[in-house]
Amino acid sequence: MNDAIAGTPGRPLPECADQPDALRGDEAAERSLVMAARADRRRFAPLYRAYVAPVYRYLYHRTGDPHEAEDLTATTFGQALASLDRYEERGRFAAWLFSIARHTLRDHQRRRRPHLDLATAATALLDPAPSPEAQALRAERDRDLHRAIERLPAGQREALSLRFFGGLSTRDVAAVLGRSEGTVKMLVLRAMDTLREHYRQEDHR
Amino acid sequence: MIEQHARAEALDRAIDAARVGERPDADAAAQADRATADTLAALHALAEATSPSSEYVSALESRLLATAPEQVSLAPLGAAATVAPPAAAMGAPGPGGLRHAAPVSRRARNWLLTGARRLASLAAVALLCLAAAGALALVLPGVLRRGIAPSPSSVAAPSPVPVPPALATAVLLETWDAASGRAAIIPADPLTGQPLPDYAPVMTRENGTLRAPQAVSANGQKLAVVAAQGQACEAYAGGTSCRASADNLRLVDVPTWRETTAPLPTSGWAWPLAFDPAAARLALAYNTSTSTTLLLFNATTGQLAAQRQLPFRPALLDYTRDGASLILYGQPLGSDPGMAKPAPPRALLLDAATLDTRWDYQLADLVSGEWCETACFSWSPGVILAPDRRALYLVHADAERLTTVDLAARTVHTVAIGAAQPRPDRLLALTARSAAAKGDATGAFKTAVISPDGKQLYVVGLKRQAASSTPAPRPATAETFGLLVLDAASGRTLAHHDIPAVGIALTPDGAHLLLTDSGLTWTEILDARTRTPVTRLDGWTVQIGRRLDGQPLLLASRSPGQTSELAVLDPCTFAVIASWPAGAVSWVTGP
Repeated sequence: MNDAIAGTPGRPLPECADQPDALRGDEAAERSLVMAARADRRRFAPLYRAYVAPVYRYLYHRTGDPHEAEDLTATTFGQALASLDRYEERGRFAAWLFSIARHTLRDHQRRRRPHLDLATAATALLDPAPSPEAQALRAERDRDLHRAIERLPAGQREALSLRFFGGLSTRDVAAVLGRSEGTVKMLVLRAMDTLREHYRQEDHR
Repeated sequence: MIEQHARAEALDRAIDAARVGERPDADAAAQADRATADTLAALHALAEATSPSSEYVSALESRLLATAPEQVSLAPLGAAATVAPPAAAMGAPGPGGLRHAAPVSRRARNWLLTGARRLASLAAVALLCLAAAGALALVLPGVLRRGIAPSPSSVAAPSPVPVPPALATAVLLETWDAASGRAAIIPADPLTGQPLPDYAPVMTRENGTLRAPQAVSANGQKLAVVAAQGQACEAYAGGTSCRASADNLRLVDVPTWRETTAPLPTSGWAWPLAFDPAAARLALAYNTSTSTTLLLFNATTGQLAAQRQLPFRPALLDYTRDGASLILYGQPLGSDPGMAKPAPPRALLLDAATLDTRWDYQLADLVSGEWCETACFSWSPGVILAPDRRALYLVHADAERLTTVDLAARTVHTVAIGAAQPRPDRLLALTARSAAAKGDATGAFKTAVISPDGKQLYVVGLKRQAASSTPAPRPATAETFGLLVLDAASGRTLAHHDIPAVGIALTPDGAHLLLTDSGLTWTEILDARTRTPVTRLDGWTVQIGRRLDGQPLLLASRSPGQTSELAVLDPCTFAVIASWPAGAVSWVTGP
């Protein structure tokens, strides 16, 4: 029985939108795909699939609005595709892409004051399976975490969002923010300390 | 200040360990304090809960990368539903044989139904998709060929000798002609089953219906077939047990499709067989009713390099990762096979060049084998090698125990399987009488797979209560164990799911579990991390195969009636992307 469906552990399946980690961070593969996509934009597909969810998450948690996050994600990838020729081969693709996402977000925020639609955000985060009580608790927890992140100083908030929701390495966050890796680590540590303190206070209420 | 830097470094490592989509690493999390770990977990959960819908991802990809109809058809296989009209996404058949569209989540439905802006964009996408559908029908074969091109990571690790382009995208099929009883292996197009021209079939058997043993080297460069011209039968459990005879060994160099034949002794049968990691040697166990001989062949010339007698009949044969040692696990047949209780199984480590014994261990506490006393017993433990080939895990069939054979340290230890409990309790549990001794079951088999990181074991199996003491036990009752998830190091039960599966496999990336029932009537696919259902394929048996360039593929087969059907599945959605009536044809997968 087992022989009938046995596989070989540790080998990747063909490229898959649901399994983006296979490509993310593989600098050589990313560079070669960017080079190929310059000639044929369809070759951009693996990069798109690897990064669409992290970019969306980052933008969602910076805007608090799933619709805006979708629009900004589309704009980010559109701009990335349009400016592939300007991508420098020595740079990291993730840092380059998130720089575009950050600029896109900044432009958007200039035009429109950012808002956090907590009701929408909480609804969008709900897992359809849990009980109503569990849903309510989880929504409350997520709302609370959103609020706490929004109250962080701008530098800490940005570093935390890129690190957690964008899924970037410290090195890439440093490249996006134009800071040293040590500074990024300290920004994230301070953000975490603030959030941790917030949780402690919540526990003691 | 120094302390702050140290904390920042520790936190950085903990975040890396708990990055989105990865399993949190307990060691890394432990470096931070509890409150930090809780905060990390909350952020992790929040990030994980915030993903764009698959419909959005697919629609945007089409919009970005496929602005013309002929380009839409180049959407990834994983997003096959995106090129179908919206109805297909709701479960109706779509183009390209898409018969198992994923159910649309509530969130996806919201996305589809919320707001005029969404409807407008949906309409635009739908128009684009409809326009593409016509073009898709014309270009589908090409689409599929391009769509299953190797991922960048697999491109980065090419085969030692490149496979010619004509062969690269082919798979191996075994075809059988019922009239002549002849079977052969051929390279064929996985999407149509059409054999490649100019590649001679490799004969596997003549005048027989029993399948001949085959093996493919890990690097895909070599194929070994133990060709059969008949049957080899022996007395077993009061009757006769027959297998395909082992008449000669056929070694095929895949890139050149050149075949070398080596003679084998007569009157026996072969199993198991394995290539070394470099595909330079092939080890093969040759069995007769009275003896088992391990044969070592030069995989290129077919010359016999070494041989030795084995003290038992192996069920598992493989190489250590460095190729320096051979790992064998098996059991002596006993004086009256199938009737008398056999001696306990053994683990054996041999020098891969000389076949000299490096370590031999008798697993006295492991109940295994078939025999009849007051009743007939049949116990088959789950046997699985660690991905790094440094340990052999044995999941006891008769008891909730896990034995680990540490091949590197050459030690063996057994723990009780169960929830976390103090060590004294676990030691007491080890002394508990087994199910066999209590007589509440007369047989069970377990089968297991291990995660690519070697940390988790996934176990399924079946417990049987025989109705009579006839030599060939006929199960009166059979009960599945469900899916058990174990920590490989401690035997601790991490999860249990009540799924009536008896077959299990793990996709090569470790992301999905493939579970099958005893009748092969369905394959249930679960997310391996959360064990939540992804989809269920009724009637299909799923296999993990690969093209001749090494690219893994998800293959499926089913036999609804007198004929069989083979299919290639989308690795993301598990939908059928190509299928064809197969007749008497089956996939050849390996290693």
